[in-house]
Amino acid sequence: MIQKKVCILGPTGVGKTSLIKQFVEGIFSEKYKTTIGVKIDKKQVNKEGRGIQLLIWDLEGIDRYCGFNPRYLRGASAYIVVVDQTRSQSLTEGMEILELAKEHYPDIPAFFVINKTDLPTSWHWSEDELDSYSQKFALLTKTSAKTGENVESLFNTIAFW
Amino acid sequence: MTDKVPPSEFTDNSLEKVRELLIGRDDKFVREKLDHDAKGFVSNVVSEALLERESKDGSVNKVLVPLVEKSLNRSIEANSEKIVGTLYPLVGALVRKAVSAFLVEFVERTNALIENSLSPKSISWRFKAWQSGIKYSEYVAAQIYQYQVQQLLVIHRETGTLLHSISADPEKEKDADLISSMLVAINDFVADAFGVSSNEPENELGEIKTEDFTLLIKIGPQALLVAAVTGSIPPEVRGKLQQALEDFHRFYQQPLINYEGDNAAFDGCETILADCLVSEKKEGEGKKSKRLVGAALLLVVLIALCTLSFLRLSLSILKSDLHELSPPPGVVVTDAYISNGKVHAKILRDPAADNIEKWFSDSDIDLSRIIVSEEPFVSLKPSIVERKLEKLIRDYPLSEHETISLDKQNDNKWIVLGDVFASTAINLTQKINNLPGISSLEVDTSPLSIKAEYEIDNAALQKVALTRLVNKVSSQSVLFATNQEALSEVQLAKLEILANDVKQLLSVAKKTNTIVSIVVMGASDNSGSSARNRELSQKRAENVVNSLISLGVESSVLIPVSLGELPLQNPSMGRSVMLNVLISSAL
Repeated sequence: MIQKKVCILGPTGVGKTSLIKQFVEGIFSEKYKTTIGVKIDKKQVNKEGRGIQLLIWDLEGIDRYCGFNPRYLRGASAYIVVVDQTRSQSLTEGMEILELAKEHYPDIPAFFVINKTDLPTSWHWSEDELDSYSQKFALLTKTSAKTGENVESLFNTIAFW
Repeated sequence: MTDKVPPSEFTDNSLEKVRELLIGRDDKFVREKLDHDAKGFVSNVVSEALLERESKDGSVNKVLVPLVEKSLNRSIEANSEKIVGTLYPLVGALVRKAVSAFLVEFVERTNALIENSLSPKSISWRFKAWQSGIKYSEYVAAQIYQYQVQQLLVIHRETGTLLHSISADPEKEKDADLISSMLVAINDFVADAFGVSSNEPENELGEIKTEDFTLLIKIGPQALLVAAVTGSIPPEVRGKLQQALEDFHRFYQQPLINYEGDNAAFDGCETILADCLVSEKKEGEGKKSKRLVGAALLLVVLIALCTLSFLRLSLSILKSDLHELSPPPGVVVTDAYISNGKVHAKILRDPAADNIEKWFSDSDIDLSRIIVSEEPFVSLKPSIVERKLEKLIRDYPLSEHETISLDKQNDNKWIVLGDVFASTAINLTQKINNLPGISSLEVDTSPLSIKAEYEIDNAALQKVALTRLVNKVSSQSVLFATNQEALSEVQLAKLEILANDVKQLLSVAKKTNTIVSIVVMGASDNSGSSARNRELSQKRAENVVNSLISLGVESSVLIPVSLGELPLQNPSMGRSVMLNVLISSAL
C-alpha cells in the first residue's frame, strides 16, 4: 500500500487537532505534541479499489513567538495550513507559516483550510482577498471540525492529489 | 646547374615552396598528421613521460594536485547525496573493520583484567571455559548476554514511513507504521533541539534505552534500521544490524532514491532482516530444575530460619518473663541469658526462702527450658527474718520440761513465751540476736519464765535436793525484838527467801512423792511472865505462818506451835521462831 505523509500546520487554536480527530485513528496521547511538538496519527483512504495510508503529522500550534521545526515537513506529500474564520489574525499568521514552509520545502503542495465554518464568519477579509491568498495554495477548502463538513473530502483529495 | 646560379631570392622562395609542398604551410601537414594520431602518440608515452618529469623536477604533482582537489570538490558539492550513497557500503565496511580492531583490543584488555580477577564465580567460569575449549572472556560474554531482538523496522529516512517490519511476535506488529513515524519525529526533534549549528553534522539518536528495553537505531543515507531489543545487547548484534542496513541500501538503492510511498518494492527484504531477528535465552530445562531445587532449598532454609526465629522468640519471651516476674522474698535474679537453646538464670536465694521450683511452677514457667545456677545469700527482708525466727523457735532443742512458742503481736512485734531454764533462755536470746536483720523486728524474750536450774528429774538428785531443802528450811529462824511479836523489815525480807525455799521444797516433795509438814515453833526469852511469853510465842509463830501463806506457801503444811519460854544462856536466842521440817514418804 502507498503511504503518504501529510503535515498539518496553523496558528494556535484554529482547530487542527479537532480536524484530525474527526478523521483518524491514533495510539499516541496528546502529550507527545506538547513534548516534542508533533503527534502522528494514521488513516487509510480508499478510492476506486486503491488504498492509501495517510500518516498525518499534527504539529503543535504555531505563533509568532514559537516557530516550528521545519524538519517535520521533510518527505511530506502535502501539508495543510489551517486558519480560523472567526479570527482575522489567524489568516495573517497562516500566511507567515506558509512562507516559512515554502522557504524550506518549495515543492511540497500546500493546502489551505479555513476552519470553523459552523460559526458565523467574523473576520474582515473579503472574498477577493481570500482568493488572492488562496492563489498561493494548491487548493482552498472550508471545513468544520465540529460538524465534519468537508473533512473527509479534504483528506481524500490530498491522498489522491 | 652549377653555371646558372639562381638569385638568392629565388633560392629562398623555392626552398620555401618545397618546404610548403612537403610539410605544408606553417607545418600544417606535420601538425595534421600529429593531430590525427596524437592520442596514440601520447598514450604510448604518457605514463613514462609523467614518471620521468615527476622524477626530474616533481612538477607533475604540483600541477595535478590542485586540479584534482578542485574537481573532487566540485563533484562532491554537486552530487553529495549520490557520492554518500555510493561510498556508504564501503565506508561502513571500513568503519566496521576499524571498530572491530578496536573491540578486539578492548576485549583483550578486558580479558586481561578478568584474568586477574578472582572470585568463586570466576573460578567456576574459568573451569567451564577451559572445559569447552574457548577463551575465558568469550565464555564470560556468553554468560552475561541474554537478549532478544523483538522487532525490526526499516524506515524511510526522509518521510518517516515504514518500509518494512518483521517481528518475533507478529501480534505486536500492528502499530509499527505509527511508531516508525513517531521515531523519526523524535529523531527530528532531537536533531533540532540539540544540534549546535546548521553546518555541523546532525545529532541523531543512535539508541533509546529503558531499564530492560533498547531501541537500537542504525542510520543510513536513505533508511533507518530500528531494532527493539530486550536484555543486554552483545556487540555482534550491532554488527549484524549495521551489515543488514548496508545490504539493504545496496539491494534497494534505486527504490530508496525514487521512493514515493509505495512499499511493494521492499517486500523481499525479509531475507536481509531475518538474520537480525536473533535471541539468546539462557534458561533451559536444566536451569528450570536447578531453579526448582534452588527454590526448594530456599524454602527449607526459610522454614528453618522461621523455626529458629520462633524458638528464639519464645526463649526471648521466657527470658523477659523471668526479668518481669517479681521473685519471692529472699530470691534475686541477677542475670538471664539465652545460650544453646535454653534460658540460663543466675539466681541468689536465701535458704529460708521458697525454693525456685515452687516459684516457677506457681508462675507457670516451664522449668525444663531454664537452667538455674543458684547461689546462697543472706536476705535481710523482714519476712525472711521472721521465717528464720519462727524456724529457730520451732526447731530449738529443748528439754522435756521446757516449752517455747512465738506470738506475733502486730506487724513487727514478736513475743517469745514459754518456760525454759536460764541457760536455754540465754542461748536462745543470743541466737535470736545473732539472726541477720533481726534489728528490723522487735522481739521480746522477757515473757520467758525461767525455771530453776536444780529442778531436775533424777530421783536421787531430787532426794538430795529434798534433803538439802529440808535442812535449809529447818535451819532457818526468824528473830524478834524483846517482847515483840511483829516482824521487822529485815525479817520480812528473809521470809521471802524462806517462802521460795519452802515452795521449792514442796515442789520437790511433790515430785518425790513425799509428805511435808513444817512445824513453825514460836519461842520467847525468859524475861517477863510465863503466860505472856507463851502468848508471845504463839503469836510470833502465827505471824510467821501468816507471812509465809501470804508469800504463796500452802497453809496446810504449816503448823504453828508455841514453845513458850526457853531457858537459854543467851536470852536473845530465845526471841525467835524456828522451823522444823517433818517428812515422810506418801503411802
